[in-house]
Amino acid sequence: MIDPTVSSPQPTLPVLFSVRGWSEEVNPAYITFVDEMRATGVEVVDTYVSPAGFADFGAWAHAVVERIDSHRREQSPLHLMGYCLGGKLGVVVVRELEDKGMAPSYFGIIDVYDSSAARRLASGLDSLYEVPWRRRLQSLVARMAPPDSEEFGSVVRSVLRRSVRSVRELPTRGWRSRKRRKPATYSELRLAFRWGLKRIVTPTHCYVALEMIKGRGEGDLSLNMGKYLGGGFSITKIEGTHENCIAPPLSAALIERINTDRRAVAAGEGAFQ
Amino acid sequence: MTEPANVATRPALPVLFSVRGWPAEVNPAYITFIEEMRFTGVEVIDVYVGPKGFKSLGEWAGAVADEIETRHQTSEPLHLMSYCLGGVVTQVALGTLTERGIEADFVALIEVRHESPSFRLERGLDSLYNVPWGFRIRHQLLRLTPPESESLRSVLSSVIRRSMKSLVELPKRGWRSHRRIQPWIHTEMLLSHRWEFGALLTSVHLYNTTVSIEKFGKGDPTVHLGRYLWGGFVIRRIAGNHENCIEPPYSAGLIERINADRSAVVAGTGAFQ
Repeated sequence: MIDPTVSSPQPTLPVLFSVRGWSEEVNPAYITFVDEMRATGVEVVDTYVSPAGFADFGAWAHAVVERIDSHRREQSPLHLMGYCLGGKLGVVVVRELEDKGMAPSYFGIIDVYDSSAARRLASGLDSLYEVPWRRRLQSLVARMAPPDSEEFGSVVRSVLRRSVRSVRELPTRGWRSRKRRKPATYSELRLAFRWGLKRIVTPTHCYVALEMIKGRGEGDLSLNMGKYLGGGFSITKIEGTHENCIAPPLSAALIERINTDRRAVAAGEGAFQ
Repeated sequence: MTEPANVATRPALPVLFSVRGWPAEVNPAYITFIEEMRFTGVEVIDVYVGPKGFKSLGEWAGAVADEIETRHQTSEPLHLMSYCLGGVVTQVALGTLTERGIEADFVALIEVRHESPSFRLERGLDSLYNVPWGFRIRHQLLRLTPPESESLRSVLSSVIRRSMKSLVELPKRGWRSHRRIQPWIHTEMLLSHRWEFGALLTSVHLYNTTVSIEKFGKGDPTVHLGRYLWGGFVIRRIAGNHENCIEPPYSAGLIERINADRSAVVAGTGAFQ
């Protein structure tokens, strides 16, 4: 029989709420990742609310908060994690939890990125996801403000270039071509792109795939998420690409790292203690 | 005699380079703080380069980077610390050092803050320090962008309000009143206010007092510095206010915290490993 006075060398971890943005059909790898994490002995609650029927990203996040509330054990510290779109949704969830005075003691985001304003314009993403004009203008203005401080001429040129391209493509593609829409991900991305993230003050552990830093980061190790993470953030570079960083064999190291960070938080020794 | 095998439980710390922005006459408290830190057994090199003769903060910070490079033994990890304006100089010097291939392993910024664009406008700081119009406009544009996302109307009305105030005060104060200039700090303030900061990829430890966070941060615990910190940061809330946090009795806790963070970095268990 186990002697109850002999404590385990590792503190018991609280339940980890995993905020999922994509359905199982779109991203089965993340379901496997959560299962793999459970196999290490930690309890993970997969929190998924379908985006259908929500007017905006905030309303969707609110439904996720309610789901977490219904599963949460009173007085147990809240640990949250999200991957990709789930991480972005997690930021909105955390903001609402902060307003309620229920901020998580651990918040981890895996390979979450915010497309840069220049990329949104060049790829026509704002048009594709019907982003309001006010928000599009904000994105352009942000390019001219510090720390980017892009020149006005350069911003205007990029807008003109994109406009000329759109006009040229109009006869072949039509206005807001439906051919570009991927039905499996459109609703989720439309909600995310149309939403303006607000700053959170909960310290955040960012796990960023090396390939993403090279590709989407454009020099920003936080993948453009840093400006929203006002409570501080650490960056852990992980192996692989956006897709395979959560799949074996690379997932094992990531899970170990997350468990270590959570244990440190639980023991009051984490990066942000 | 001490058995060498039993010496110190914590790893020996590398030399700490303290970058100072103010001369001893303006801020004698920081000199005393460094002395107090040395008293705990750590080696601190006080790096001070006067601002006279430099055309920009970039040039000034370049000279500080030269000084650090000259005095730093390349075999040792580079640890940096600064307070108040010294942190602003360090922020720019770090960029210069990175360009030269020198990365700091530990950076402590104590009570370093950037003024928000609305604060600069309200107090007429841009006018006082002759900030170029292009930068003033870009800085105000920041207010329109996420995560602040202030409305255009609110920004414009604050600009109009400030312009009206300036007009009303014109007969009494005159154009760019010299009475507002404080000669002993004007050069330093002029250089720092006229500089457009870029993003920093080095991870940073911020030590901020709750008083400053509430008074100047307005909900941003980084006190408007976070936007530039792309490499990650942690925030330590320290006791006291901007002036007395580096003085006894508060300084003891701060020094202990900095030494603990440095030890963690040396031991490979810090926030950014």
